[in-house]
Amino acid sequence: MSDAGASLSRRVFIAAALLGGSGVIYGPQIQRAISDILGGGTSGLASYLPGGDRFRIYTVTSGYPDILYSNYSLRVSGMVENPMLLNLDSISRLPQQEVVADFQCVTGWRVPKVVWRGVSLKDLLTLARPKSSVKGLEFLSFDGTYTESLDISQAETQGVLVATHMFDKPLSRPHGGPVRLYVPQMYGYKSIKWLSEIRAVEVTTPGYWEQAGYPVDGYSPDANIKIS
Amino acid sequence: MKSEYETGGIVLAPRFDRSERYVHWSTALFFLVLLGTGVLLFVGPLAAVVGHRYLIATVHLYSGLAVLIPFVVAYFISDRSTRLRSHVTHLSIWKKEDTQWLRSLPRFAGSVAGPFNAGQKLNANVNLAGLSLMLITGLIMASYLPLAVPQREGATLVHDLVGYVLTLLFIGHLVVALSHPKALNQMIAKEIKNTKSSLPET
Repeated sequence: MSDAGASLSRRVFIAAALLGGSGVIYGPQIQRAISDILGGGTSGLASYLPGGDRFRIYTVTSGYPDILYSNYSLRVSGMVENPMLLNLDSISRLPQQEVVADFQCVTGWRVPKVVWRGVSLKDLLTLARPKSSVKGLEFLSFDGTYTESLDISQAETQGVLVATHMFDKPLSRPHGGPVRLYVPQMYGYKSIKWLSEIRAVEVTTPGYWEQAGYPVDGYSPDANIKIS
Repeated sequence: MKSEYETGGIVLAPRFDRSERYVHWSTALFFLVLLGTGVLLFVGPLAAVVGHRYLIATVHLYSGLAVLIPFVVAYFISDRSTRLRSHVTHLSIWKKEDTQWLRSLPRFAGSVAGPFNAGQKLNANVNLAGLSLMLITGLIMASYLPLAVPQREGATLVHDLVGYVLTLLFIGHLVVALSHPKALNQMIAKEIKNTKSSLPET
């Protein structure tokens, strides 16, 4: 370093640009590498490391809706031949399906190989028998604010679940328990939490985040879906 | 570790002028809002208690857009003779003494060339570069298009990492400021009191 002095700010800014540029471009690879080093399924404080696999818990109202698991019921309503009110027990007696996929949030975090279990939405629709004019489904949350929608062909796609379990445990409240929707082909915001009602309609209303500008068809390009 | 502005309890001139104090405290205000809302967005259990994600994210975004404005505006509307300009110049140049000062750590025995020591220089530059990175990566995270999810994933990684760095620097800055009340007072008080002498200000 010369006596006249070197430009510190230039060096710091070049370093920052290199860090930022390579981070943005190679972020996914770096993230996977960190995830492998941490051994996957990080929990507790380690999950707060940048790049740690961690669900970022989002709620758009104050806190979580207070639903007693014992009082829970899911309403299937709207233009269906057979409206239903299902409690956890009756949901658990329906055929169960397991889906393993990467959970990708549109804001840019990802949790690899999450194991979900629940009832296939397609099976539920077979029981509810939507009328022929039905074009889509609207989903409502117990939080009273969040909504989502799927058109009927998306709703009948293999792997779309009315989910009750994550990683073989009953779905916890932060993750949308007792029951949430899970759409493996799409970004996380489509998988509405604290599901209270599924309504069959002719014309769907865009959901909560869609009204703030997110696409209604929020397909995630590489979700690595495995259905069993 | 006394600067040329502070010798033997006699403070000759206020170290920071009015526009510098405005820049400092308005930036500090935006920074605190960013830190507070950022923590609420980042830490799951807190997000759970507070919720209202859309509102908090919006406040976070606009504070982020605002945080560098006081400095940038004050810098570009000020002319070359102002203390702000001269301080920025001092802060952006690394001298031989700065390397010696860093080597002397943790004894703080190195000499200081100009109004700022090497630690203050590093802090200022890393903060400015870091805030710029936060702004760019934050904009990538906030925009749905044209950038795809892999870039947003990368931006999240960088935003988290730099967020940690800036938070640590902020805590360090706070500790040092609170343990140097005289220096802190120069950023708070309009008039600097002569503590021992009744010499007029020069």
